[in-house]
Amino acid sequence: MRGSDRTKIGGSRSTFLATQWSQINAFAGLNPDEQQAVLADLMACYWKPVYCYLRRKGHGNEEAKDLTQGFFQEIVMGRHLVEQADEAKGRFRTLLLTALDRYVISVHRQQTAAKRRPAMKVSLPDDADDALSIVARDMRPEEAFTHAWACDLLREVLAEIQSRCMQDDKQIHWQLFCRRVVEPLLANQEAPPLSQLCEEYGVPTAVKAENMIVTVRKRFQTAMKDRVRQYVASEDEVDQEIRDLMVILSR
Amino acid sequence: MCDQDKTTNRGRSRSHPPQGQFTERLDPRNAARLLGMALDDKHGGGDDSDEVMGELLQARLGATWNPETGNEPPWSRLLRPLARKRGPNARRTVEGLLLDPRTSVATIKAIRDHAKKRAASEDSEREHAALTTIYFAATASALVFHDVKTTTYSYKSLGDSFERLIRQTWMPAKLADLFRKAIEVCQREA
Repeated sequence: MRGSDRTKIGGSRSTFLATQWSQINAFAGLNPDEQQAVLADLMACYWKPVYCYLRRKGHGNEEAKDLTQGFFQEIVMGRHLVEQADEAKGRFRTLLLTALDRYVISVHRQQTAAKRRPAMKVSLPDDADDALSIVARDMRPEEAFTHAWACDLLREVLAEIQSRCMQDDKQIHWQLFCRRVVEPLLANQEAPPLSQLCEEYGVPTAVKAENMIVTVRKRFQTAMKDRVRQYVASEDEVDQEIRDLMVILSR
Repeated sequence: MCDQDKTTNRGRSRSHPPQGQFTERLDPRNAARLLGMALDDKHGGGDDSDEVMGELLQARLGATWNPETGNEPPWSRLLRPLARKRGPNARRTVEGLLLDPRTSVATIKAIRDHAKKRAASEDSEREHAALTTIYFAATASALVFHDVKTTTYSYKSLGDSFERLIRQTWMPAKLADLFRKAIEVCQREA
């Protein structure tokens, strides 16, 4: 499945400096090149949840890719998403999923996806293996969407705090955090005892090691909330959005 | 993600960004657990660890008691030769004082008050638990060695608290013994 399913649609992934909302709202005033760049940016951030959702809905690889491109171009940037949204109240994730559902229904009503080649071609990123791993899981389309969304969020946040730890000469802090927190979750294994990590990394006590892990963990919290803040409507919704993601993922 | 980082160089090589098979390896429930770290800011890095809690408590119990400040400042080691001449509690650890029948009620109360004050201002759940344990250890010490109740808690309530503390897997054996003796006093007085 993997070979034929691989996709190279997409551009390079970049960090949003503005919220998704402001980017979408400003889209109409941009020149075509700028629009292309913004579209590529948005797709780089969100293609995976959309693509996974479509695949779990039963669409084939090519059809899902076309629908993904068409959705971003026609709905997200075609102002339809903004028209559907009440920015002051909506969460971007929920809005995207609702709009995607409507889009797929409308496409099927009108014509087959094969005939709907988007005019503005933007390729999706080539790190499709991750998406395919979600597609392969036995989960409902909405859960696949959320899982892809959460994994992208987590990956970006972890990359960010790792980068910051390197800049601040906190490599050992990062290593301890990885070994004690991240790796056990990725490998579905028990975390190594702190005494073992202390010996490996030359940290004098378990309490010291724990404090170093807490330092990175606090950075994780800050970075995660900063990211989530970009796509919710208010500060009050940041924690709630994280909780909602957790609930969906824990089903 | 961090597999490449298990080095023989005491882990000091640069680890790589979370890439590749991240999503494939992270199942939804573990993704939820990782996300949950963004909400809970009291616990430490890994899972709840008795190892850390036990070590933290031992560190607090092993700290040298300073009658003036409650804690020994880092530079005080230089003054230890002088401190030896200062009095019976000089350079003694919190644990040593609480387990010694000769420690005065005034000193026990000072330790208790210091632990209570520090616990009230402590954000870390584990630090709070360690300091609360010392608070109850001081209360138990006064009960066992002086038959003095240094708190407004009832004997019944104190006995229940000591029971709960004994059940903690991170509780050092010497403190657990002290709490058991204190429970006997509570049962007698209740």
